[in-house]
Amino acid sequence: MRETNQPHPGPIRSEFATDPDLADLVVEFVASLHEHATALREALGSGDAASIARRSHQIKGSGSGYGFHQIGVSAGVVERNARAVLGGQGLESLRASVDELIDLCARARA
Amino acid sequence: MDRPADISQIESVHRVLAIDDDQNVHRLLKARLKQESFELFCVTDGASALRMAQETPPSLILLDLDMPEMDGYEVLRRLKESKQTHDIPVIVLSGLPSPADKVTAFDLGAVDYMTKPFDMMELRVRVRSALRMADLVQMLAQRAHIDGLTGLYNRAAFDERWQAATAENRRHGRPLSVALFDLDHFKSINDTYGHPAGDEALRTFGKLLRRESRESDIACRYGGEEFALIMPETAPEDAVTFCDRVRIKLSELQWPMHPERSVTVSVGVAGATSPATVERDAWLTSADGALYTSKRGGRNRVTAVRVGEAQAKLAG
Repeated sequence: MRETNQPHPGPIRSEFATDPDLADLVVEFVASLHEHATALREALGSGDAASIARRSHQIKGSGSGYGFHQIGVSAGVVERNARAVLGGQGLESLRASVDELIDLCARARA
Repeated sequence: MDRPADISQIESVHRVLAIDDDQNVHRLLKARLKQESFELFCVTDGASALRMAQETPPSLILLDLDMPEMDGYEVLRRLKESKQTHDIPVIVLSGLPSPADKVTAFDLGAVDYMTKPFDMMELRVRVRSALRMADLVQMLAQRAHIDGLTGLYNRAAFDERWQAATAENRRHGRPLSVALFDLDHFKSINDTYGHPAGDEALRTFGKLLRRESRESDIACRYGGEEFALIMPETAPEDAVTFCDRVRIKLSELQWPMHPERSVTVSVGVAGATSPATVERDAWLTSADGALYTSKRGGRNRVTAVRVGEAQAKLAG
């Protein structure tokens, strides 16, 4: 079991990578995760908590469906923290969880 | 199309509309639900979804709540406000897990609520269950408006549609006619050849009326051996021509249960080509009076009157 904040260096693969119904779609989804990772980094840099909340909400909704349960759970944590920032908390409370989600998204592979 | 749907048509292919701003969810739903016996359509925003639902109401809607511009609550509210989309069942698929969100969605009219990330097997069975329930509700609603023997609209359905038709005539002055048909000597057919023969006469006339009338006409069993036909956009002269054609066709039919005896019908028509100044029921009183004139004049004939225009007699 790895520790939080100690990113595992290896790729994260979908549990549906060999599912004939989903294999092709997982490839597309992974591409969208990489786009999300880039956009989340930019949003964090500019302090755009609303954008972080929206993107993490989407990743949470579909991550498990595409076989990336860990990413879906992480996105749920980010969404909660982003909404807290929108509710008045400091951005710092959000940074660690977004960093972790960016790392997970970047390592996603079909 | 304003005629009763065949009950068997309810089992035809369902259309399910998914509304979610994330296209990853669309692709996932299409892949995971492709074996199901319905067609799935996906849109990314509420405004497009409302347009699509108005044009071709789907059997079921899967609705995301958290969407930019128009959120799912607003979509749900507008679906329930429109007569066209009010009865479409809606399952909410949302990433919002709070009880308050669920309560709001159910209060607004959702039939079910699933929290993302959702289990696909669970979604499949919930969709099947919602479609099954929708079929049953539709079947009950139809049966409440359909006459069991003839398959035409029943009296309750006639009353509703007649109210709408006369309101349209009053508001816009569009032509309107109504005809009352009464099978001649029906009691004698029943008494002489038995109730199956009487039922057969009613069923056959119902079929004839339905087959000969236009899509926009509304054919009803008015009660006993009496039928009514609402003919929007029809002047009384044209209604007489139509009713006479039906009358002749009926009189020419051969009857396996009593080949030696034909069945005929007497008809009373009331109509107007401009806004009628009389009450809704007065039209029916006029048509009934015209029907009585047909009966008294020897049966197997059509009599018509104009309503709200000194009730001038047209034919008979």
